[in-house]
Amino acid sequence: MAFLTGNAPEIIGLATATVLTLAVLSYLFGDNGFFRLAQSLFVGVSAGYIGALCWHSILWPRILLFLHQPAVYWHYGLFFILGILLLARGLRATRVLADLPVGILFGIGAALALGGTLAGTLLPLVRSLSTPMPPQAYGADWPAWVMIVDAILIIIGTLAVLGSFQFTIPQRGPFKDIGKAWSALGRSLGRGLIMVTFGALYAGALVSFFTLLIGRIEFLLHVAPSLLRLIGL
Amino acid sequence: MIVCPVCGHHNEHEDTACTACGGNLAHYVHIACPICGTQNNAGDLYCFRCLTLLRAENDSSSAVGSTEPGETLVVPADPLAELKQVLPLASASFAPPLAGIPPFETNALAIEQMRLIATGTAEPDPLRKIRPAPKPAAPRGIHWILVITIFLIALGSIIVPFSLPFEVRARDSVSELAQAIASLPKGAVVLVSFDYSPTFAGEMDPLAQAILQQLSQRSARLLIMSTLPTGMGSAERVLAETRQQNQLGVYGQDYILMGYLAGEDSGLRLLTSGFSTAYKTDYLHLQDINSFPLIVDAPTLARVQRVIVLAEDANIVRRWVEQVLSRIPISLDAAVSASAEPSLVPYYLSKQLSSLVAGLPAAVEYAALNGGQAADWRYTVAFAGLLFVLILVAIGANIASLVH
Repeated sequence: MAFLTGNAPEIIGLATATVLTLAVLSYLFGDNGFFRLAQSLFVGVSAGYIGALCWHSILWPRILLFLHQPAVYWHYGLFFILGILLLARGLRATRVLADLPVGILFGIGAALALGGTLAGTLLPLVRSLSTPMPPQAYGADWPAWVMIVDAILIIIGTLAVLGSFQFTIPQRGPFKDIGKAWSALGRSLGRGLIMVTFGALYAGALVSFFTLLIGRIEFLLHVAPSLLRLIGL
Repeated sequence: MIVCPVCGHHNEHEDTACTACGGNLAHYVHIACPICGTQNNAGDLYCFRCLTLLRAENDSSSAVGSTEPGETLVVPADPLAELKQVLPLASASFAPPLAGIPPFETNALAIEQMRLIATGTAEPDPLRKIRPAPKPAAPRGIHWILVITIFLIALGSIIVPFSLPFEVRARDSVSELAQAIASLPKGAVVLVSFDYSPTFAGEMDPLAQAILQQLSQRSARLLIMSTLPTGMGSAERVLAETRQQNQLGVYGQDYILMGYLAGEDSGLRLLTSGFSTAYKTDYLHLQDINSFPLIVDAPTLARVQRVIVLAEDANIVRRWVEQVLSRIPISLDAAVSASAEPSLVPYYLSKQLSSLVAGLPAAVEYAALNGGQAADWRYTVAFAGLLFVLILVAIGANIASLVH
C-alpha cells in the first residue's frame, strides 16, 4: 500500500464519494440498506459539522470574550444561561425552566418576521401593484398597449388569486354580490393561476435536480481515471 | 376462572359458589357472548358490546341478583345517609338516582327492536368494504423506460460533443448584473453571501464562479459570509477555484471570510448594526474582526457598494429583503437556484432586487456576455432533451387517460 501514502486522503475521499453516490442512486431500486446507510451518514455528518462550526465560529469566540472581559461582555453570560436553560426541556421536572428562553426566541422571531414581512414584502409588493406603470417602464421594444394589457392582467390575476382564498366565507351585507363575483373569479381564474405558479415552481425544482443528476453522473464517469492517476497507474 | 375472595381458591367461570369454602360467587359469574366473545355479567340480558341476546327472555336461571317470586330483596342502607346530615344544603344531590325510572320492558316489540339492533351492529360495516376505485396502472416497465431515458439524456450531454446551433442571448436581469459589476469602481467593497449548501453545488457553483471572476477582474474587495451553516463550505470551494487563478488578492485586505451568521432573521437584523456587531472573529484565523483593514474601511453595510446573495432557496433572499433592505438602502442582487426563481420574480419586478439570475442557464448567459463559452453548454442541451421527454410523457399520459 506504499503507493497510497502520498495521495491517500484524496483516494479515500474519491472512493467514499463514489460509494455514497452509488448508494444514493440505488434508491431507484426501492428503499434499501445502502440508501439508508448513506442517508444516515449524510444526516449525521451534517449535524456534526454544524455543531462543530457553531462551537468554533460562534460560541467559543464569545466565551473567550466573556471570560477575558466580563464587565464589557456580561450580556454574553446572560445569553449562555438562557441557552443552557433550553436544555432543561429534556426533563419533565425541569421543563418549566425552558419556557423563558423559548418564549424569548419565539417572541423575537415572530416580531422580526412580522415586521419584516410587512415592511419588506407586503407593503412594497402592494405599492408596486397599485403604482401606475407607464409603458416606457417596460422598455422600448414593446408597443404601449401590450404593456397596459399586461398591467391590467397582473392586477386581475392578483385579485383572482386573493379571491381564491376567501370563498369559504359566507357572503352577507350590502356587498354580497361583489363578494360572490370575487369568489367566482377566485374559484376559476385564481385557482388556475395558483396551479400555474405551482407548475413553475415544480419545473424549477426539476431543472435543479436534473442538474445535480448530471453532476453526479459526470463525477462517476471521471472517478475511475482520477483514481488510476492518483494511484500512479 | 374466578378466584374466591375469601379463601383464594380457583373456581370455574360458571360456579356460583366456591367449591372449597362455599362462599357466594354469584356476583363474579360471567356469560361469554356467543357472537363476539365479550364477558358480560351473568345477570345481563344482552351483550353490552354487540347487543346479542344472551339468554331467553323468560330464562332467569343465570341472572345474578334476581329474585324469585316471593323472595324479599334486601336493599342495602344508603352509604351517603350520614353525609346528608353533614351537608344539608346539598341534599338534592343525594336523591336516589333510580327512583321513578320505570322497569325495563321486555315485551315482544322491544325484544324485536333489540334483536334488530344487535343484528345490525354484529354485521360487518358495509362502509369498510368500500375501496377507492383502482387507478389505471401504467404499463409494466414504463418506470424503468423513463429512468433509463433520463439517464441516457444526462449521460449523452456529457460524453457527446455538442455545440448550440444558436447564439445565446442573455436575459435583461443577467445583463443588468453583469453591467452593474462592470460599472463598479476599482476597489469597491462587495458583500457576497454564499447561502447554498453543497447539495446545490452543481447548479450554483458555476454561477458563483462566473460572478466572482468578474468581481475579481474589477478588483472588487470581497466580504464573504453565509447565513447557512453549510454555506461556508461552498464559499471555500468556489474561492479555492478563484484563488488558483491568483485573482483574489491579499486576505484581510482584498477579501475576508467573515463566516457563518447564525440566527436567520435576527442575525441579519444584527448585521445591519455593523459587521463587528454580528461577527467577533473571522472564519479562517479566528482573529478579531476589527483587526482587518477591509473591515476598518467598510465597517457597515452602508459602506458596501453591492450585496450579492447566492441562495438555494427563495426564503433566504426574502429574509435579506425583509430584514436588511427594508432598513438600509443597498443594491441587492440575487443569484439563485432555478427552483427559487419563480418565488422571487415579484421582488425583482418591484425593483427591490436590483437583479435576479437563476440556475445554470444564467451561468451560460453570463459566460456568453463575458465573451467566453461556458463549460456548461451541455446542461442546456440536456435540459432541452429532458423537456422533450417530458412533453412526450405528458402527451402519452393524456392519450392513455382518454383511452381509459
